[in-house]
Amino acid sequence: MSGRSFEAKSLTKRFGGLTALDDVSVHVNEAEIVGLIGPNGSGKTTLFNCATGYLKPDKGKIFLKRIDITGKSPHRIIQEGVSRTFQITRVFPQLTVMENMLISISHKDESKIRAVYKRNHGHEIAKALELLEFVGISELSSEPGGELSYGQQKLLELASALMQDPSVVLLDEPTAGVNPTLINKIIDRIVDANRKFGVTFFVIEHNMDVIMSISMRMYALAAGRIIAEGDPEKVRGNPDVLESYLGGD
Amino acid sequence: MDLAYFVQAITNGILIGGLYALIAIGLSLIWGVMEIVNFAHGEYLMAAAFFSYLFWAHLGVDPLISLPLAVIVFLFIGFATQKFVMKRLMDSPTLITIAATFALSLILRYGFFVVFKPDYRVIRDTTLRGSLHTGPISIPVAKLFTLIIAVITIILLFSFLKYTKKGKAIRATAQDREVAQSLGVNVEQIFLLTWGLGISCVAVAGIMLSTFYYVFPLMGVTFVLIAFASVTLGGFGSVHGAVFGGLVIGIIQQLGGAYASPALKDVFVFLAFILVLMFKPMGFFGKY
Amino acid sequence: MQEGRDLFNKATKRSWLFLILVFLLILPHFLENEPYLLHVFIMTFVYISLAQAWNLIGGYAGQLSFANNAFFAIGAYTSTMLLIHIGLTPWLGLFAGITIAAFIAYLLGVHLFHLKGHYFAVATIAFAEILKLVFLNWRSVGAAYGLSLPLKMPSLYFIMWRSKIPYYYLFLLVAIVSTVLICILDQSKAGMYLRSIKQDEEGSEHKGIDTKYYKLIAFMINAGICALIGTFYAQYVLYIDPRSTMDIMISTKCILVVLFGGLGTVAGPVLGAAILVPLGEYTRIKLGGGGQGWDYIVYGFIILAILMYQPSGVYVILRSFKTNVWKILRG
Repeated sequence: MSGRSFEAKSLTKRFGGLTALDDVSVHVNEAEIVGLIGPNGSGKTTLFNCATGYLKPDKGKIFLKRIDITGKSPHRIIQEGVSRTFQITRVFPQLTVMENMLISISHKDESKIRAVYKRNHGHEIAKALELLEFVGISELSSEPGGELSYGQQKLLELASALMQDPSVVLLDEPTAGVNPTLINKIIDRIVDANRKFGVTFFVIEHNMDVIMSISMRMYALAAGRIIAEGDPEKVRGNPDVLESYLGGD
Repeated sequence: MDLAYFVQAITNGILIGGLYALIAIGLSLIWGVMEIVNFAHGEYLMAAAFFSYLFWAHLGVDPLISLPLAVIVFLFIGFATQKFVMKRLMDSPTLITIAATFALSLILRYGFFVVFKPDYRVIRDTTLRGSLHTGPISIPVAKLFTLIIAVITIILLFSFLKYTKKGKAIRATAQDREVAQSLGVNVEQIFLLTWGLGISCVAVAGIMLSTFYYVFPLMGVTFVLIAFASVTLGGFGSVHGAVFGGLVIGIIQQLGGAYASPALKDVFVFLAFILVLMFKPMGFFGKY
Repeated sequence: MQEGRDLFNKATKRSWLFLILVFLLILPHFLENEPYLLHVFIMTFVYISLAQAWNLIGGYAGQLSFANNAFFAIGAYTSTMLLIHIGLTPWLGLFAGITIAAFIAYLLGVHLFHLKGHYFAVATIAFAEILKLVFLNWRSVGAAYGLSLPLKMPSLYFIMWRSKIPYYYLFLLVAIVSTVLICILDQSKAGMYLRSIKQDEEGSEHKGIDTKYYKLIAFMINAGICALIGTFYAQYVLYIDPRSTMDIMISTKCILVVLFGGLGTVAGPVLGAAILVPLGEYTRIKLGGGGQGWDYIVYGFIILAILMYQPSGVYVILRSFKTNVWKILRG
């Protein structure tokens, strides 16, 4: 019986006169891959930003495995088990690939005092290598992050998101700007992580083919409101959803 | 303390505030357009003050006459600074650009120090001697003139920025460099012009300052901090803000000096500065 | 970067370090009649320590602090006041100084860290200036006249000697300890987190790193080291006043030394201080004829040169030089 890894209830966020999110309720069950689609400006990234605590919602609550994380600071929420990737990759350019992985470990029970003098444990390095192998870039582990190609950076982001055994991974357009050959690889890794390790994903995507092929369930957002949810085919075929894309974009 | 004392303090504040505003404007312009904090700003002030002093001491030229000459000379000095020093460092991280202007300030400050020694010099008996008196309030002529010149310069600068083509280009570049470039603005030229204008403004301030203040190589240090405080108060990126900030800082300083202690007058300035940074980092008119 | 840190000739590096250390340890014997040269070495060690301290907050954490002189002065004044008024040995006085300095660093950090780049820099300058003005007018700590340390019999207990040689060893020890501390931090998790914070603070937050904590810790350690040096420095020069201890040039020199040598590296501050401090002293004597000035002019030009041609610092120049020489030797 899988529970809800991630849930947002009646989330509302306003910026001045603009309502970016209007009474949005979504949830992601354990080991699910749930998609989030919608035209530009519909509020998808705002939803993610509220989920990570980067933005404080005006109304509503956010839960991670039943724990209320609303209003907590970003680093605490991440520590509780939320991993997030960004639309434009955010790899640390002057850290090596391995270091990018090592800073992504779970910091929850980390001793901050010992961190001042202790180096990384062998098992952390081993796990990083394992994940780098999993996405296929382990030979680049000593390269500075800034030297990687865009697609490789996306893979690195995916691998580092998995380092802390997160309760949910928020992927913000994982295939945006990536060349077609690598898109398949990325999709493949996401699905594999889900099937093999039971990782829970909540994915924003513009590429319809991609999101249709990986999602078990889907939400459609338009002008800050959920206008459709459920079976991916049904959501995509929903006339309101089509309308929102034609009108908005 | 009576009303006259208070009015005198306010008057002093406004008089000096005009000068601070003038110094702050140059700083704010360079900061706003190029995101470069000119730590050497005070040294240009000092150089201009020396310029005025030397013309007076060796050629008997009144500061008011060397003023227009200084504006042109320092315009070119500003160009030179951008062209030969700052150009290479334009998009470097903050630390690098700060260190560069700091290095410049060291070279200028101690260059003058080595040549002119730390001695304080004073210009006397110029056309701006004496004071005006209205009732119990005394207004030194030199300071009054400084305020007038400052106001004129500021108005000229604002008009330039608002009405001329180059001025509008400067404002566009300050708002968004890429957009300005795509609209056909020659950004390189704008940077040269901005430095030139910024430095000639502070040069005017330096010349006027020499008519009532000591001239010495280390004088730039205090003034640059006051200029930072003014720009912060007014808000980064806003030249109007810099004027507002300069006036307010001038008044705070003089009131603080009058009612607490003259030695501590700058403490009030720095305190105001830190408080603004802590609670209203955008300043009152800021854009960032 | 791991490749850069572990040079292929790690063993050679270690033996060089050992040799230099031995050299430095026996050097005073040959300089017994050269108090000025001893002074230059002492000042070099002082700046190595101060620079390593700043390296932590500026080079690793990427926060542009100009408050080093303030922490230095706090250390100097605290232990000196305790020495003068209750005869407390500076070995204990320094703990008081470090604690106060660290506490003030904490307060500054909490209130000012949200400021970006130059705003933070300018705020720390303002703080340092306020502190100087306050001390200049505070009669209990000597105001502008400063404080003279009471002369005691030469002893380790009161950290006071007639010859410069014991001071030389004291400051050498502190320089070594500071460098070792930075080395440990450099290799540690915290060091890595600081570097990630410098490159992308928000991104680091999104990795679950408590950026506020790490920046504060770096700042507090920075303050502590500066305060420690301040105490020892007071014991060395036997007279402190606001103008000399809170001179903004102290902070500036720290920054320039690290910048010149190489930000965020262990060797950078050492190289920077070892080159710039003696160079400054030399130019002051050769060109100045007593007055200061020339050394700052030379610094200014050197810094501009480094910034324009190799902003990563001298350490990087040396490293690539070494790699190139090695390549040539290998054929």
